[in-house]
Amino acid sequence: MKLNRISFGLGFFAVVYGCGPFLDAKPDKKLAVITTLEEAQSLLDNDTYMNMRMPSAGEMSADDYYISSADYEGWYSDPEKRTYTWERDHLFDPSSNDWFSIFRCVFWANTVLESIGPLDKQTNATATWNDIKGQALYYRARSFLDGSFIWAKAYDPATAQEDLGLPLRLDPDFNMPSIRSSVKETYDRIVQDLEEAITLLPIAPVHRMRPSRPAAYALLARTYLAMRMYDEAGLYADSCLRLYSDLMDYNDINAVNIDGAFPFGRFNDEVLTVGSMYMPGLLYNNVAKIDTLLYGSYDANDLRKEAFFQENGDGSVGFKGSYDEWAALFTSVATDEVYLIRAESHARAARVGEAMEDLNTLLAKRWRAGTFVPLVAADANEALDIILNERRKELLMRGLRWMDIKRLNIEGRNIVLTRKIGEREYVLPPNDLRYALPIPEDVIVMSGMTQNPRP
Amino acid sequence: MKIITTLLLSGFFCGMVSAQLPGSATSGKVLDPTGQSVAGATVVSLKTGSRAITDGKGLFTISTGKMPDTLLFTHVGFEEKKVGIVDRRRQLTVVLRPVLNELAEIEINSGYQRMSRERVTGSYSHVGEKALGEQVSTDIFSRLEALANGLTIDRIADGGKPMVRGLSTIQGVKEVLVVVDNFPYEGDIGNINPNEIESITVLKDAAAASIWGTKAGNGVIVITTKKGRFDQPVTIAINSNVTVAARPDLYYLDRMRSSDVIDVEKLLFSNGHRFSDTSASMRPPFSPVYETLFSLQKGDISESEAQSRIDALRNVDIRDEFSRFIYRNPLRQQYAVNAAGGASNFAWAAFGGYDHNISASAGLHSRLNLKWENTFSPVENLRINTSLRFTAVRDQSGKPGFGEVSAFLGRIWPYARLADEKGNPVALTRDYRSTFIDTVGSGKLLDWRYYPLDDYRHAKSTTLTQDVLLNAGINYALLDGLRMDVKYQYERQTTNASQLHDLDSYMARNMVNLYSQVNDGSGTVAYGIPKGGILDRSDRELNSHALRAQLDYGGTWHNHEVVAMAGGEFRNNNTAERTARLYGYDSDKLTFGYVDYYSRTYRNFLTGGLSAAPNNDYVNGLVNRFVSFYTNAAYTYLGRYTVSLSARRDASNLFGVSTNDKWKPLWSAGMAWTASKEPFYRLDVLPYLRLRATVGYSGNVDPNRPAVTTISIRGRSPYTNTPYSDFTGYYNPELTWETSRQINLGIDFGFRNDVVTGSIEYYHKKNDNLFGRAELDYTTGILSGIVIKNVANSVGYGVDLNVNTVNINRRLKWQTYFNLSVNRDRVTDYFLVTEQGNNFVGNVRIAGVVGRPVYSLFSYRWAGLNPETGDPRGYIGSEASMDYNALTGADVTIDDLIYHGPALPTWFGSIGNQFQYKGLSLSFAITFKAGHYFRGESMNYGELFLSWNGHGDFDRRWRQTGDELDTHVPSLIYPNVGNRDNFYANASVLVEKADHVRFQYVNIGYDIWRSRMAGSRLRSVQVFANAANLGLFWAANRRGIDPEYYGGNALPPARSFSMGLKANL
Repeated sequence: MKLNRISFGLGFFAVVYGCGPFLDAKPDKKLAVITTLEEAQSLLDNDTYMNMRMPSAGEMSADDYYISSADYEGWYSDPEKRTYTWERDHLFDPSSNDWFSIFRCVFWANTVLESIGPLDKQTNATATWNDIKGQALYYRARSFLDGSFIWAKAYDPATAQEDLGLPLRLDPDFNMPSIRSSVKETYDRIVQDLEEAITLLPIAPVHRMRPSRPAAYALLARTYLAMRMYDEAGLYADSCLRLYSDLMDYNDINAVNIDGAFPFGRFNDEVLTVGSMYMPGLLYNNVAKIDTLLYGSYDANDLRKEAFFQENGDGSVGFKGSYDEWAALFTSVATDEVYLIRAESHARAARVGEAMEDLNTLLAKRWRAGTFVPLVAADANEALDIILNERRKELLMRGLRWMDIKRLNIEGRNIVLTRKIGEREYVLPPNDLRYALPIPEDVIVMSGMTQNPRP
Repeated sequence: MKIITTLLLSGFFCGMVSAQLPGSATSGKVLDPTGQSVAGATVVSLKTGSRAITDGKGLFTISTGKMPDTLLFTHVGFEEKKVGIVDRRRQLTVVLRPVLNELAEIEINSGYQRMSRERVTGSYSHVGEKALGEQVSTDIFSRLEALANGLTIDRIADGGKPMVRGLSTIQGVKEVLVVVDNFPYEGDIGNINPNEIESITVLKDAAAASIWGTKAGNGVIVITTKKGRFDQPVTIAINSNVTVAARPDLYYLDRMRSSDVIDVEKLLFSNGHRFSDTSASMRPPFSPVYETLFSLQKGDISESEAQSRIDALRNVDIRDEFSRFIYRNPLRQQYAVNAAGGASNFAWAAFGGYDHNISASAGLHSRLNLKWENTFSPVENLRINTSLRFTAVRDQSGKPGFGEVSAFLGRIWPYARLADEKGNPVALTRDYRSTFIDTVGSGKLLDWRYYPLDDYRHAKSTTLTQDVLLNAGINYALLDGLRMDVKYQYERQTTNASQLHDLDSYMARNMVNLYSQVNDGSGTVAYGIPKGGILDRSDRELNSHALRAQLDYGGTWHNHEVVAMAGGEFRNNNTAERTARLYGYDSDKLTFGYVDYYSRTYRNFLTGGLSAAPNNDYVNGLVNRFVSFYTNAAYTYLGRYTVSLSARRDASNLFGVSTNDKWKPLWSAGMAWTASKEPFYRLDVLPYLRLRATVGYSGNVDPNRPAVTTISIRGRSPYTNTPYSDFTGYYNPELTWETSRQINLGIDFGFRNDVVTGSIEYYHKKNDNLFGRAELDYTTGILSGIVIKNVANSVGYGVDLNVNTVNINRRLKWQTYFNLSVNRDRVTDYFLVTEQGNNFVGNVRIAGVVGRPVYSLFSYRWAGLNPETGDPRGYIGSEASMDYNALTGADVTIDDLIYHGPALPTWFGSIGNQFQYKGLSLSFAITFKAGHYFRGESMNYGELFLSWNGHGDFDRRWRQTGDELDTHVPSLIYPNVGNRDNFYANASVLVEKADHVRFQYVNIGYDIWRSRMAGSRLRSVQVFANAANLGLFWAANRRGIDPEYYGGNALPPARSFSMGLKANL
């Protein structure tokens, strides 16, 4: 009798206690499901993945640099070598590659977008909620845009409906298949995301590790530039500069440590939001040597000649001018790029005066004090040529050259890329199919997506 | 209070009742030859057939028939004895002689109950004290491999963990559950001192293990420590020994000669390899050969000077340097004292042990174990048990081991010197170019050189682990045969680790220099990181509470016998971790400096980049909670038919799962039939024959695998000063428990006079819903292998054979034991798998190929070396090819690969022999593993060019046409092709059979004194010598490779020799 009571009591206690709070304790105190805005924001504040893993395959394919034959022959990474010489396939290591970096970012953004959906927009949290959503949209758009530069053909309104774009993953559910969209759909999505982000993001971010409204304007301007919709590019560049237009004067030793191993700070005045490449060994500045013609095009009074380049001791020069403070190449948006976009837009619309004014505003801050003579152009064509030339000099090793070659070759500028390894010469003709790099082979196998057509 | 009084009183009356003998009963006591009581012996009246079982004090009372009657006493582990009685009122004292074969003397301890082997239906392997005592290792698991049946130590897939009957899971938790006495041991297994262990029981099948529920999926090892018994004279056992081991044999590592590496470096130099690193901002170092060649190139030194500098390095071998200047013979000392005793209502046991080990690189490992345990029986039916156990383990770093000295990113040239001719430490180029650090900072910075032979004096790490284990239990007989048992255990383990790099250590000097700024004008140095030592501390604290309440019933009436129990259990484990760092630390004055972890104000000396001070602060907290209910019952009829049933339900605080899904019911059932007890059984040669069959389920769930998308806060962003996080789990609603159904069929046998005893068992495991990596298209943003799903089903089956023989039993005694296990497994379903071949080569990993073992060895088809170029060739279709991207690419599917066989042994076991002649004893054991394959290492040119690390196969490389007939080692080419190496490393030609036989240990003992008189103070003194890790007897591969210790810098354990003394008082 007593026994029954004891065991019953024990059992009862156990059941009540067992199913109650005892088993509801979190096994790891750091675990969380996203139920607050702060938790959603915490994903976007993981700067390693959101800001420091931007892709590099485009820059590796472009012509701002070359590597020595000795380095090429002895290079440890086959995919990097193959990218350098524009092979038709096997350009990426399995898994750990640019494709993953981009789509990881997309997944994180999608998770944030989905999880903040049901969270209350409490009156005092509306601004925060908007900010988070804007950031997530910005990161998603930026990832799609970077991906398009690498894996899609240049935007050509004539064929954009048929050309293969990116798989537009908009839902964090990993059970959904990846299906490639068209180039048009891809760019439409980027534009749509950025237009929405612009309405949500604050003008001044908590920190420039996060995107802001000026950064979103700048990225949208870059998008339209890539689409060769120059009027829109100019308008959004202008919107950006109306909100934020600071430029560094390279004469200012507080802004630019011109003799330093890396002269520019990560949060320098021109950076709109931080972002840099996940560096392949091939692009480190002791390996990637700057194209000699390009280097030779800087005037002796152009401070960029000192700020951007280091002598390697063997006659070659490396690039030390990343806006990310160390060897990793800055590839996010900065005001110098935005000035150049607006300038180009003006030039293309034959507004020569405005075009040259934007360019000279920028260059005046680049030349040794008192030496700069403003450039003049006789007509719109000359203005455009000057601006494109200066664009290359200002924005080298920024992850933009590949996209520029692609869009300019559609306009018939006939940029032919060549590489020389010993006696072998590699040539990439304009508008070659290889301008859209092959998607990593393992992705194709696992997803069943269509590979980009190969020559 | 009233209840307690009632309980106490009723206990008192019970005692009174049992003290009054009924008219037809006889009572007495059963002892062993040493005078200790024998519990659990069965007493049968041959006249009436009535039965009784002796209690904990060896006492029994049995109703007897008309005088004269005969009582039959039986007990496993003791010889049967018949005693005639003529006067039932006379108190009997019966002494049973133990059976010779110790391995048969078994009481099964499942951790919840102890039962004689007679009454269990499940599968157990039991290892006794004597067998364990023949080895002298500091830890317990390494002793088990040569002794336990069905258990192997897996050194291939999962780094030296015990594995019982193969895999039950693929990606789930693979740890066996270790139970010490009654509760799972939450602390470090290394805390346990083998000298305090009385026996180890391995619970192998589901019926045995399912009582442990969800944690038992991989088998359970129950460790029973030595206990005191009632009415036992005080005994003291002393064991002391010292072990000397051989120095690590670094020449086991098959490496390229320094001279050959130097020649390759000259080739690289002539091709301009790595020249661009001369202008790298991080100043990566070059080898001494390269620096010499640079000097020659610049014209700083002459051709002959360069030649002689380089030639001086050709005969230097880093393995030799380590053998001479670092390694010594490891020395291990072990001292242990066990004491136990008991009065009529009190029993106690105490243990003290101390181990002091000095490793080959002069690291220290010491362990102190103390235990006090007692059982008090204030009234007849009440037993109160308490124990306190304390362990302190101290680990202290010594010199760096081989592989721990690196010049750059873990790489080192093979001709690196540690000391000059006189033995004085020399500097090793590390992290930066020597020409850079010799001149940098114009002498204002701290010395930036690294002296490997001296640095350890300035970089000391110490780990102190303390473990306190407190047990309290009350056991009360509520009614006849019904006992209530409440147990509580508290464990607290604290681990305090500290790493002090004083200012003279390379680490601290490097850190201070990196954050220093030299003002060229004034010559002053501004220190970002304070000039001083760096102290890292990490503390971990585990607190575990376990409470168990259980009812035990054991009853016998007529021909029926029931043993049953039911109970409930809570466990709560809390773990807290903290790490912290102090900069500018001065261990003499206990002062430290301040740094800024937030503002980016420190300028990197090399790159000029700004950063905050590197931060090493971390806190974490883990909570694991379990609630379980369980029951177990065994019913035996006529002493020969047994059925058993057990059930258990577990719940844990799995994150993100609703309460209903947290519960997992598991059950098992079994039966046994002692055929030899049947009246019709006439087989005199085989007097003992018993058949068993069980079926049951165990489960497995990983508490770290939540079924919702979860993030983990990693810290605070130094930019936004807000938390930042990472994903830890992905929304995965279908995730469910792994289950394993196991069927076990066993036969126990004993030939006449126990000349041959043993068991043979067949088991079949069906493992369902196994966790596995879901192969994901990483366009999803999630890498393959991150999302865990229930992806697979597998089956495992095998046979465990255990045979113990008494070969000679005269003045010379010779006994043998033989354990043989066959274990096979096969994946029956694997979902979402990719067919991509390159997922199945490389390191041993889970293959998940349907129809193949979980761990399978695959390779690329080998088509021989190209006779023209010495390039390795594979097949694309039926064509020999050298297109290495295609040969290793995504288009190669699993069907294109060669399947060699399992990567884990399918046959394994041990054989031991024990000889005894008078006071001299000799025993030795060998173990074997067979049926599996491993991938041999060979030349990898990419690795050689990058890290100076070449394989000894370099000698056998293809050099000219015709070589391809004798060798498969590819030619040296420059530039290298990465996938050429990759293809060759995974080609079928390198795969070898892993079968081997290992000489585990030999032990010689001599009783220098043995008391002939009962009651003598000193009962026996034995000296012994032991040799262990004697290496391979035989291996199937022809290259002298020990397949269990292979790859990278892995070395087989060094041979060791021990001398010791055991005394019993």
